[in-house]
Amino acid sequence: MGAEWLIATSKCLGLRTIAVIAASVLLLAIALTLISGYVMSLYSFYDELTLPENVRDRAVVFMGFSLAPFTSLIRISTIDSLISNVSSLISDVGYEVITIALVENESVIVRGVDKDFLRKYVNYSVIDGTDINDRCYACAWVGEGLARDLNVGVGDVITLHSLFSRTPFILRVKGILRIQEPYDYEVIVPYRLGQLIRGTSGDTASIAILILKNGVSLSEVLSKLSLPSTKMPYLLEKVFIALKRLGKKVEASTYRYASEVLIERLGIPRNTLIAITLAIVFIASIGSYIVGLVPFILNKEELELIHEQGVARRKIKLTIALIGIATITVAYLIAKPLTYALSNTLYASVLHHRLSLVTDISVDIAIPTFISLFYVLGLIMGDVSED
Amino acid sequence: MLQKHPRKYSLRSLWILLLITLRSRSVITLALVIVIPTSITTVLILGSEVVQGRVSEVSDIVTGTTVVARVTRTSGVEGHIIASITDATISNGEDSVEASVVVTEDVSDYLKFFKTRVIKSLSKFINTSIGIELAQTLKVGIGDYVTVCLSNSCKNLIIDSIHSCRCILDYSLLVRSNLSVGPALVFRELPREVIAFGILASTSGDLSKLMYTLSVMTMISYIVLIYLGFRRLTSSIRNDVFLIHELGISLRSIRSHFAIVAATLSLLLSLYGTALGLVITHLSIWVLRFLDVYLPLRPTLPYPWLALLSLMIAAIALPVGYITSRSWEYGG
Repeated sequence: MGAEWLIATSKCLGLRTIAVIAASVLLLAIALTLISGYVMSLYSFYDELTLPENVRDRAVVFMGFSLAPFTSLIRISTIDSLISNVSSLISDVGYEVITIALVENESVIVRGVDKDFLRKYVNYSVIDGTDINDRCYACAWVGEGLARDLNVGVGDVITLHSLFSRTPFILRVKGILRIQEPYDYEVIVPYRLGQLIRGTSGDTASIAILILKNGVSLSEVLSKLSLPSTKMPYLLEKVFIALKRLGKKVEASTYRYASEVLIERLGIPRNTLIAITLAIVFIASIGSYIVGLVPFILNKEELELIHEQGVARRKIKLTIALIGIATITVAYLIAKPLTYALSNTLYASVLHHRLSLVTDISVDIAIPTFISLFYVLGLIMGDVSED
Repeated sequence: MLQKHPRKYSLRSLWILLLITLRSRSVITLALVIVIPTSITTVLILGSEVVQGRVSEVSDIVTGTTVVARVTRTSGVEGHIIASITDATISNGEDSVEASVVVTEDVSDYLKFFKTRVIKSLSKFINTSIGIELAQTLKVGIGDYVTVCLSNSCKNLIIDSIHSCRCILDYSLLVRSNLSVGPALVFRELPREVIAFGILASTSGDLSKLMYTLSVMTMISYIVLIYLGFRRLTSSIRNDVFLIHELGISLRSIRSHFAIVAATLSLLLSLYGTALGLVITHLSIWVLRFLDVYLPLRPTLPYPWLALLSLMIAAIALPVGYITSRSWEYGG
């Protein structure tokens, strides 16, 4: 017989059955990739807000150890003394004050920046109005994306209410900036004004960004700071250092993700989040059990015929399994770029910052694996002569 | 008999069809493809309810203090103050900064309203008061002149007061005048939780929108599977359907009845899935305690959403049930 049973069974299935399997898997894979991608993106959201895009691979961020984002403060003098050992490895240090405020009844991130640091390390151009002026205490600059969302332009007056200040801030929009992430959906103000909005002054900042010299690795900096990098067995791509004040002492801990600083306070490490995502993917994939029954629904008579002609049930199911798994794999490979394209139109955002899908290799493997698993289970439970 | 009592036999065939469907093994497969997406959808929706609940909790924490907010309503607003504010270039002749100039009828009242301390003043009647930080930046004091430039005109003003509040007014110049430098702005004292709630609600609204979007995507992804579930069901009860047909009821009637059965069954299964999602959410909240995360909330499903979800599933099942029963007419 050779592989004739293989060909005979394949011919029975037909394009319609394969199309139905592909369509079902495609829709399911898109939904699962979206759910897992957005759940993971919420976790890395804080990373993207604290590290400028340009310097993500050569910067160390110092931040406070707080439960809620954008509420912690660090002392500049503490940072100065901490980094005195590594001054030869650092080319620059920049401080920013980050807070959430109500601007025209919308929650937005307001960032107080050092103009010179921004100019040096962040790509931006002034598409309307004037450049950032450190000596303006009644001015705001708005990222192009946020300006579009809030429908504000140069010359407009915006009212900003902060949780940390009793008085509202009446600011004039002086410029619209075409600027890289994360600033493109934020209100940018001079550093001192940012401190006022945050309700602080003097020696304080929200984050300190250390720019490393060319060729200096993150591990080298951590080891000179006497901070453990053993918590991160991966190749070190970025690191966040959280400072916690314990009486007169300041304790520093390293993290691979900014959100871990917050989430660990809640006792939910990243691995738990991945496990929860995998559980959701597993449960949602159960529906693909019925995809395994599709050949027995659509091609029942043809399969009964070849079975009566002598092809064993086992061989029929094996053929259907092989074709099905191949179809599932192709459908998933098509689903991934489609999902990314769809996510651009879905416009998911938090604080006006666009959420982009973030995937983990374990989830990428899990989706087609779980779908295939339940497909095969459905196939096993179905039968050519079943009513 | 059938011609004499068509309605009676019609209802009876509906009932028999329902029993046949419920007894079929394939109803379990159908249950899977309806219960799973409805429970996932429910968990996502309840997740956003939990976030909204946390918003209320957190904003309750900041009660007891007040903030001054700019309000847009001017009529019937008691306890308010009005000023016009603009940005201007303020200089001491050598150095200049851009800062806010607040023009109001009574500077003392304005400072009192904003709980701002007058550090030094020539008299009780204040014409021009400068914030302490601005004064230090420009190195000016009581009795000194500052030049205020707005658009194309400049004016010299003599400082007769310095104020401090550890707020933006420290970088502002307050001027007594009946003239206006811009639209009149009304400020009023409000409880701080209004601002807190505004900030948190806006943020949690973004998350809720995302959850609802994902729940819609989940339902859409299962539409083809629901169709396949009904295909399998109609195939498995085919023989019983032909028995009913042989009793004299037309296939067309049977198909219509099956559509009603499909909608009813789907409605019940979606309610079951929703209940399961609710149980999973409450279970998850309970499990989080072991990770030291305490959420005192016990979210309940918003009833409009519950009704919408169940009716939507029933509405999908009605035509799908009718379409999939087409196979009976072809004998397959």
